[in-house]
Amino acid sequence: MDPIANPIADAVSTLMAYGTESLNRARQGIEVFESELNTTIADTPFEVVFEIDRVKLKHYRSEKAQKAFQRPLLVVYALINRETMLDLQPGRSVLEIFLESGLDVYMVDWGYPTRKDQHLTIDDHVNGYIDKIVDFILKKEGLPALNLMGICMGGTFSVMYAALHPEKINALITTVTPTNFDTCGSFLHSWMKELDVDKLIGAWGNMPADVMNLGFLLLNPARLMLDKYNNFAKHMGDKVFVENFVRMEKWIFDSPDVPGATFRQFILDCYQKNLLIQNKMVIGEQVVDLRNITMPLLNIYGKKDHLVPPDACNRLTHAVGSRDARDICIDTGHIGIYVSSRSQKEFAPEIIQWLADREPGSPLSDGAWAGRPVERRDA
Amino acid sequence: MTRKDSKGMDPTQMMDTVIKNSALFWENMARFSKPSQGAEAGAKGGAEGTQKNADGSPSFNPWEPWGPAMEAWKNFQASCSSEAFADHFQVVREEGFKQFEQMAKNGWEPLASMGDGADSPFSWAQSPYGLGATDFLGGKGSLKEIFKMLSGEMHRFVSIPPLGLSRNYQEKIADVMEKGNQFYLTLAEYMFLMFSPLEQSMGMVVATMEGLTDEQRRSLTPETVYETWLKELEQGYFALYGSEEYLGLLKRLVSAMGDFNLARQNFMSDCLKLMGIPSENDLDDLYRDLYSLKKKLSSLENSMDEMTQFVMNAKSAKKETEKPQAPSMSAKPVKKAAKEANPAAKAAKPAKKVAEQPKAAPKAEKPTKKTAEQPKPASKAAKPARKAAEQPKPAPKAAKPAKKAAEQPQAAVKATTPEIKATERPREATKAAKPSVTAKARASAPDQPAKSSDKGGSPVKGSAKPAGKIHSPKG
Repeated sequence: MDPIANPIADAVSTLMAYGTESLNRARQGIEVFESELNTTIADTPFEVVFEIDRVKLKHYRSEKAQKAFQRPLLVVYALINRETMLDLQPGRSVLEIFLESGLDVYMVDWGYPTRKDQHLTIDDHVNGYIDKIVDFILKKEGLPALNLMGICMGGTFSVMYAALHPEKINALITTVTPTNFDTCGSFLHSWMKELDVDKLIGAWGNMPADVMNLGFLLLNPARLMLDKYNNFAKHMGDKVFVENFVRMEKWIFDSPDVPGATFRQFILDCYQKNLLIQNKMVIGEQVVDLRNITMPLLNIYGKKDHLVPPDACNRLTHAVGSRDARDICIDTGHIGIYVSSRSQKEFAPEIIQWLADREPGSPLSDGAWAGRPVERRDA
Repeated sequence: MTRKDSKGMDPTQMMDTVIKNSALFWENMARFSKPSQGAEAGAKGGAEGTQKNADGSPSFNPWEPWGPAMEAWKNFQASCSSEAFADHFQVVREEGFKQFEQMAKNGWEPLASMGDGADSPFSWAQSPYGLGATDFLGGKGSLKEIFKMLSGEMHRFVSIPPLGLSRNYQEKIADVMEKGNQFYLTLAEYMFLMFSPLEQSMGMVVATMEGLTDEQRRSLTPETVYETWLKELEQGYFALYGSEEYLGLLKRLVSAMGDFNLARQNFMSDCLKLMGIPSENDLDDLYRDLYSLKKKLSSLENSMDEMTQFVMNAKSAKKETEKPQAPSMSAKPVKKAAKEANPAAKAAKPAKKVAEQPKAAPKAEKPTKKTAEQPKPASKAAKPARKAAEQPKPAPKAAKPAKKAAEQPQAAVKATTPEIKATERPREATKAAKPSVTAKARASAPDQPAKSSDKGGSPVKGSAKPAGKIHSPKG
């Protein structure tokens, strides 16, 4: 005979079981927190080879005896957050894969702008810092042109640079790079359209990183402010999980301010007027004509990107003058494209293979590094 | 038309009373200064109880004249402490307490009602009890109401026109208060809006739970409930973000925040100025000057480089033309020659840039203008030449030079072999070399970019800065 159903007893026992489990997790979590955690990021050794103002150029040398690439790759990161994202930890590092393939990497470290830098415009970044860095690398390596890779806002800068100085770029890679800002695919775009940027910059000088971070969190507060930490609480007994989580937190909230004049121009000319894709953007009295981009172009973006949706990226390959332009859409988000384990198998290998195919005599041009992009579309 | 305050008192009447009392006060003070008159007045006042001298004349009491003065002062105080003045502060104080009381009640009520044994096990989470968050932020007795009331009442004070020596400072303080209130009011509205999906999702989950049978409810785990709620919450935010109401409020919030910050900064700037400390505004002006100076300096350096390079190249070209020509020298490989054509190709752009900014380098104006006019044939021919060499199939969308390369292949080929030209027709080659170098030496030759980069930034040598910056925490 079945025992008499007692809903109160059921509820109490469920709650007790849940409470016991939570307490156990908390106990394990405390043990993990008390142990020595390895949460360092950007472990790969590098050398600072060039400095201008706050900007540094890091050189990551490949240890491979046989260099597979004649030309190095210059990586231009965004002014928002830091370039350490490409090198979060061993095994989750795009840089590591690049170096393993025999590719030498130079990376721009924009540093932390202060109020002193508030008047720096996009022109100062593109025709100033990036141009000087490119010249330095070309001189150092004795090359006429190099390979350029831009990330997010850094990708937009790279596109501008490649259009203004095409003779110095051998191949261009843009990753999660917004070029078309007239899209409704992201709340960020609709918010930016309404933003009174003059008020913000007038009040603060630079765009404060904390305000931007708050804005990014507000894009999806349920997931980014609640569920994320609930998930952390669930797994706080797992040391590896905790270490990775803390690394990610370190990177996310390590945000420099954005120089006021640059932010202002980026919002007004790109987000509000969408001038870049229309070949109407003016930088340092020069019009940025995307048709000048005649070098090979690889454009990679994330299908689930909530900051730079596919619509914001996929018009670039049609707007440039290059015949060798390709889009790759990976089924992941804005950050996941660089740090997720699945992307490690797709993203970096795809770039290496693409570069190798455009490097005459490269030992990798036989398809040894070919990844498996989920969707690809040849321009 | 007369203006009345919240208690219906006419401010002009109040002013009459003040003036009347003031007049009485000073009249009595004047009597006090003339004792005899004061005494007379005292006598006239018919004060029966006044002391008299032995001769029957009224004795002088030094405190007597103070009587009316004190009376007047009392009257004056009474007029000051009437509703007309105290009322505003009282309203703020009393209303403020009421609001806080209400807020506290809102916060505690749901907690207290949790164990009330309502019909639904989730009733504590339901409206009107709810979590209290939205009530706290936007309902009756909420932060929003407080800021609204404050901005209404405070506005009456801050709108009094400031006068006198410190007028300017008063105005700025009033501005900070006004903008601050406006910002906090908008912030409260924004928070109210941001919490509404939280409450709605909670309500939705409760409704779903109530729709379940006992059996289904028993099979629920906290995780399932949480996931359902989270999805609802996420959807709620997405719906909110897409609304015009949210966008409008966000715009107002950013605007109010900017205004408040600016007002605060201006006020702080004044305070610091009084103390002789440079303010952020002063530093900003300095930064602006520094920025423009740096730009000018960099432009001058570039012009200097170009001029130096121009002279150097002219000298070397002259030497080359003077040398006896060996036939073997003209047989340079085309590939190398193409590389050397690049400087000419790159020359056009910088030349234009320099020519466009004559103010920055007034001394360099002559040579740059010249070069801007001269290099066209060489640069135009050279640029497509390189592209033609690298990309034999010109792109349909490609820029003008690429098209030109396709249209004029001969010109391109010619340009790729400038060295051959140089040996055959030294004068022409020298001409072509001149502008290309003067136009922008820094970017012109692939083997010479260091000059410019050295000027702008500093290459770090192995043993110096970078040595300490090699980043290998593990090692």
